[in-house]
Amino acid sequence: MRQAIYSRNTKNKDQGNTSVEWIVLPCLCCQAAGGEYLWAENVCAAWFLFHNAARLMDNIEDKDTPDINLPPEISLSAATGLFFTAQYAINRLFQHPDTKNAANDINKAFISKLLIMCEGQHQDIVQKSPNLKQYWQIAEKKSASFFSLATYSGARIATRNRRILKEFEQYGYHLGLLIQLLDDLEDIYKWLRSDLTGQHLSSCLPFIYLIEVLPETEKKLLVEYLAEGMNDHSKKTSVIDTLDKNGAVLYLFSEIERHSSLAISSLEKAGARSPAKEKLHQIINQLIPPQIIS
Amino acid sequence: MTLAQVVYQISVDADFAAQMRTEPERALAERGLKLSKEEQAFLSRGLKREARGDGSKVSMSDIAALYARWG
Repeated sequence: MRQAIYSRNTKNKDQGNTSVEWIVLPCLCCQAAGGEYLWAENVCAAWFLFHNAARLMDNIEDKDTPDINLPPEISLSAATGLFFTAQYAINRLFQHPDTKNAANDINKAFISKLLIMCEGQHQDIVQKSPNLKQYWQIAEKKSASFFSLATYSGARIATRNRRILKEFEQYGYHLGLLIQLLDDLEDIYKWLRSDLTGQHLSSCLPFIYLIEVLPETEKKLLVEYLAEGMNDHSKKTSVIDTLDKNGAVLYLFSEIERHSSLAISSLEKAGARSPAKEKLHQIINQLIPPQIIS
Repeated sequence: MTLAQVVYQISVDADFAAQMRTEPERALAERGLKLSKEEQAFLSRGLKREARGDGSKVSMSDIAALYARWG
């Protein structure tokens, strides 16, 4: 694991690529909170393994086309293995002198955050067309919880100062929400470029925003389109036009500004230390859409 | 969700959009809407980001294309 974390952090630099990989988020937060980068290697391992287990489970629950061609029963079996391996990584925290004092708190954080994520996933499954308030509730429980788990746990190895830990947790919270917004944009892109019907877009923020604000007649048409499917070109064009004319882009940008600003502000309040602080800034900055000139 | 309502009004009501640039507190109050100073700042930066160099507005399809396979 140590070698894997080193190689993740250096390979991009060697290739002239300056993007930061997320797997190292706990290590960066540990370093930013005053600890040593590699003290958090077992937290990175556990978090990464849980992430992949959750992804496999999510694909089964959403009946998504998986990234790799695994039948659902194999995915379930693989996810179970990943869960137990992640727990083994957490248990190692109790054995290591650098992490044993923080191990109990980190173990509790993993359990409580993962339970919140399960609640969010359940809500996501049963509420097929969430309203705006429900969208944010689900995003907080799923994505925000997951990333705040990484940032809190990494920082906790270095410090037990509650105020500082709260700020690192907030950084992860806002990062998680940003990532959810960008996942939605990726879903829109895939729909535009494929024969997908787009019915799943009723759980994407730009569409939920429209359903929240549009007058009844226009809302009804959009809801019909979402229910029937929108895989012909004229419907896609009409729907994008509706999104563009009614402020969906501005709303998305405003929320991106909100969460990126609050994430950076949390780092400042935490007194995050260099060089990890700059990399944590970079993680946020590389998510923000560049200004489109023409 | 007030930010959503304000954004929608800016997008469909040119008078409100113009008033939000000069007298945002009054514009909001007249429509029974409220945004914190922080939210007004996020909205203001969102408006700048929405504008292209040639004065037109960015489309949802443009932004979605930026995040193709981003994860």
